[in-house]
Amino acid sequence: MKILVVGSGPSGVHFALTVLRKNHRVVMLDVGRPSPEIPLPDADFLGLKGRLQDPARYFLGPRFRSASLPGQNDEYYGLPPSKDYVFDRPAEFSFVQDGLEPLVSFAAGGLAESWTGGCYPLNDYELREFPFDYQEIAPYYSEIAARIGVAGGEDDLSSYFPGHDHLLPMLNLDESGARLLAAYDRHRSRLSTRYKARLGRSRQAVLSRPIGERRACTYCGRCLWGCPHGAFYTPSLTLRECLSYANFQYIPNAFASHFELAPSGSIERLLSYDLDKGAQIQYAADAYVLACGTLSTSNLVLRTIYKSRKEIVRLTGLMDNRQLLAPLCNLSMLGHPHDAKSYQYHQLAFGIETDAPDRYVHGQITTLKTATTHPIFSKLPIDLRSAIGVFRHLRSSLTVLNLNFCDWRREGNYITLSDELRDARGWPTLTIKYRPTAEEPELLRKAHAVARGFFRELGAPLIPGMTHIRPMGASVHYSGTLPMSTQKRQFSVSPECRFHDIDNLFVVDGSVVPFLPAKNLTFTLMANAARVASKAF
Amino acid sequence: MLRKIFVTGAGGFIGKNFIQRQSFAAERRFKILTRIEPATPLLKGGLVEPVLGDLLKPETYRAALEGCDAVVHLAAATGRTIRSEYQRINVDGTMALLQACKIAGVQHFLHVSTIAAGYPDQRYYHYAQTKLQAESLVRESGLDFALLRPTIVLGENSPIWKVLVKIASLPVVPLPQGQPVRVQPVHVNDVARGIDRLLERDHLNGEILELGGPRQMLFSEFLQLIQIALRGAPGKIVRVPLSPFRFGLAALEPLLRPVMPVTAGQLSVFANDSVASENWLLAELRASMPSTQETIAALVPNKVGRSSATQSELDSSLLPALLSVPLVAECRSFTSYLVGCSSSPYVEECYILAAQEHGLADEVDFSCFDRATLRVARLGRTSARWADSYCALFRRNGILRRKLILLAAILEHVSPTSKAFDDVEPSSLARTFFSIGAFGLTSVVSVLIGAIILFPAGVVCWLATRIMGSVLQTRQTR
Repeated sequence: MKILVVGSGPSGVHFALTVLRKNHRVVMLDVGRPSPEIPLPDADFLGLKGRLQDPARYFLGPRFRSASLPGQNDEYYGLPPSKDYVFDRPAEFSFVQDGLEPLVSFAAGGLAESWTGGCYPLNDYELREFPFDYQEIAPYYSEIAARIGVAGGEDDLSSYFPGHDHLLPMLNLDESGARLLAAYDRHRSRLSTRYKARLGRSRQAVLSRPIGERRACTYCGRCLWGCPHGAFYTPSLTLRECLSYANFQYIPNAFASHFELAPSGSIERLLSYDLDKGAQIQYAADAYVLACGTLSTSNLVLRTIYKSRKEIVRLTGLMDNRQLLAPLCNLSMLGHPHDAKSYQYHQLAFGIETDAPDRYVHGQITTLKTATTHPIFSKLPIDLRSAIGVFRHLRSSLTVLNLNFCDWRREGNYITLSDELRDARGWPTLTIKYRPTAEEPELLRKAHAVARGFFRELGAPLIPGMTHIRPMGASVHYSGTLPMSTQKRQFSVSPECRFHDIDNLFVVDGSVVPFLPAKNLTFTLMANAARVASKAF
Repeated sequence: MLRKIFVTGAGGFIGKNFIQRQSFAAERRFKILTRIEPATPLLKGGLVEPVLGDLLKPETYRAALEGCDAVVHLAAATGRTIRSEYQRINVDGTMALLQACKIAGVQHFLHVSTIAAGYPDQRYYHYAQTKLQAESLVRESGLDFALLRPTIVLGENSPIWKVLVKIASLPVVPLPQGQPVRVQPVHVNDVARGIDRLLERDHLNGEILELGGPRQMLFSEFLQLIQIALRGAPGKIVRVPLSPFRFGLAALEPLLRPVMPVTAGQLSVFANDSVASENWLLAELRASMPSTQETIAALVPNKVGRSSATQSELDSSLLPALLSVPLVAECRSFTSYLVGCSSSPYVEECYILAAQEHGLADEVDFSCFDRATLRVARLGRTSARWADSYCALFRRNGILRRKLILLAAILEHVSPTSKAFDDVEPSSLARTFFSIGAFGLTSVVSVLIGAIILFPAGVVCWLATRIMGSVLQTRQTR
């Protein structure tokens, strides 16, 4: 069977790899912005500052736009310039937004080229609205873990994270994380009873031992700026694996616009634009698989409906995780130098139970080590010389807790097209509308209070006044516009992710998620793509 | 095109340059009013006809005016002279010339005035006052006129250039200033081109055309550009209060004027912006103007071999320095404040480019208070801390904070200054708390001193902004 896959993000590449292994022929259409070369792969993070010829532009970008100046940006850390390509958007994709500021990616590997590697399987509570339970998807979690390498193990958080096979040994824990975990171990029963919250190790998409050509983590401290050894997983590694298959054809620089439907209602061909020449190119296949992310997938479906029926519809149920950043100070680390030679992303995870089990609040804890520091010390209300001095002494103790909140589908949150606004090619512009729930402030307040008490008792109080609620869109877990459903409903897909209205169209990205748990979604998307590829092809 | 032109002040700084650029090809002929027989080169082989006469005695040149299409009136009393002399030449002389024009039937009158004629504050400045009076006479003359107001005019033998070089050569330059003022120096050739361009028209239609150079800048920046051109580095500039200085000079002037280096009136340049408002002539000429840095570099004496250098002959390695003198000095000062060591050329280059990218390079757009905080911060590392402490609490998004944070962002990623952000010696908890407490205490003291310095400046800037706003509103209402 000839299968045309749109998009090379985590869902696309794992779908493709699965069907390639079943000897199907795969054509992958992608804008596919390439990643820049990683400089000085043998240098560690601190070495880069001394050895790079032009370190300021490497760390701040060729136009120094990554410098975070007051009044421009409230984030404590931003994406490094080496990841700018991830968000480089072609002129063919434009949108207007109301209430959700999306990040979109057209990189080879998609948005997950700049993810932080959290791999958390969903439990049965969280899968309640999915058309399958944990038992059904567990083998695919295991399969994906084997492919990408997930470091993690059994600990106090295991009751929130179901087990699966192929977990790698845990990475070395940095000193700050180790002290926090030791403090938790001493007070575990009291804390978990009082706060209904638990602390444990993260599950991370990073190799603690080599797999194939990928080296194990060397603790060089360059995770955020681009792992030079392939130890940290990104989907472009799987794309590279797909390219080794003779039955795989990768077509980059192609922007998929819409499908043309046959009178029977099935897809006849996909129309795309060559981004170099601007020419329209058609592709035909036996089956079409959308894996280009919720926004692009929705755009393509909306355009197809608009083109075939001259009708503008709404794809409702758009979801995203709200995120709350709470810096905390691990007092036991005061007076200790920070360790730049360690794994840089979150090493600890934090879970808060709520009244409803599926509304679990998930946190990831990142010790500040090699992230750019000026966005943090410049927020102190003192002169910068003093702020740098204070920060230097506090640095090893500074940690950021990133709390994620679940979301559910609501009619008022949708993606549609705006007839009044037209893009350069005359298409109605993609339009996004999102409003959080009325109960959200209370949920955030409660979770923040739990975290405040919990970490205070661990000797790592939250720093007053520095908690920051990130804007909607910041978590990039957009989902829910074409949900999986056992019932045949308009704008939904079957449990095998076949579009209910178009029999040769499949959707395997976040669009199909009927409920968005607080845990990072990417691992589940990869597993689901592998599940669909196994079951439907 | 106006072909037969009568010129007064042709022997002056602008007049000479204007005549020298003329050629027979232009089919324009000139008569120049002169009190003495001019040197042969000025006559340009018959292109220019001298008229021996006196501006204040119209009968000496009235006949020569007959048949002329236009008068270019450049003659004026400038420099350090007495009030009555300004009045006599600038007002009475213009009136005599206008009457002679009317009698002789000259229809067009191009009056070369000065940007100072538009200064809001002309106290003690008799030159500006009389030039403004002369403008009124021209406007009311009934002739077809144009008023050309050049800003600070630079060029070979520019009177003001000599003064500026003397000032800039001082080890410490006292800069009398109230509010920071902007200047827009223009090359004399561009003023001459402007006059030419106006004469190319068939008709002068009563416009007031201000003519400045390609870029506006703060006076202090202008002085620093001259300093770097003279000696390769910016010198120390110390601001001194303007009002008492002016008042003192005005009081002494009746007695000591002949020996005074500068008059109270001439200090008006430090009390008013000398920048041109946009107009078609400026827009037309701007594209082919040399940059201010190029103009300055061409005027610097031969020790660097640039007395008549063109852009292509300039040492290209000096140009970036010339373009960014204030930012380099600022970068050095702020680096010293932030991390306690000097900045490297690489950091300076990055800072300049980053400041340009973030819109932090050109002070013209900064508010009054932002400029005040920058001035305080640039005085040294201690004053930078005072200003920064105050802004960290009361002006967090201000220009000073943004500049400092931008520089900190560069310094934290560049070796060896990155050590100031990364390295910390292991220490006991008590010692860590003591260090943090010491920083906190220093910060508190700095805030207090910063408040003493900057709070009054903030109030003054706030009042000035309100008053300026009211004035503008009143003008618009009128």
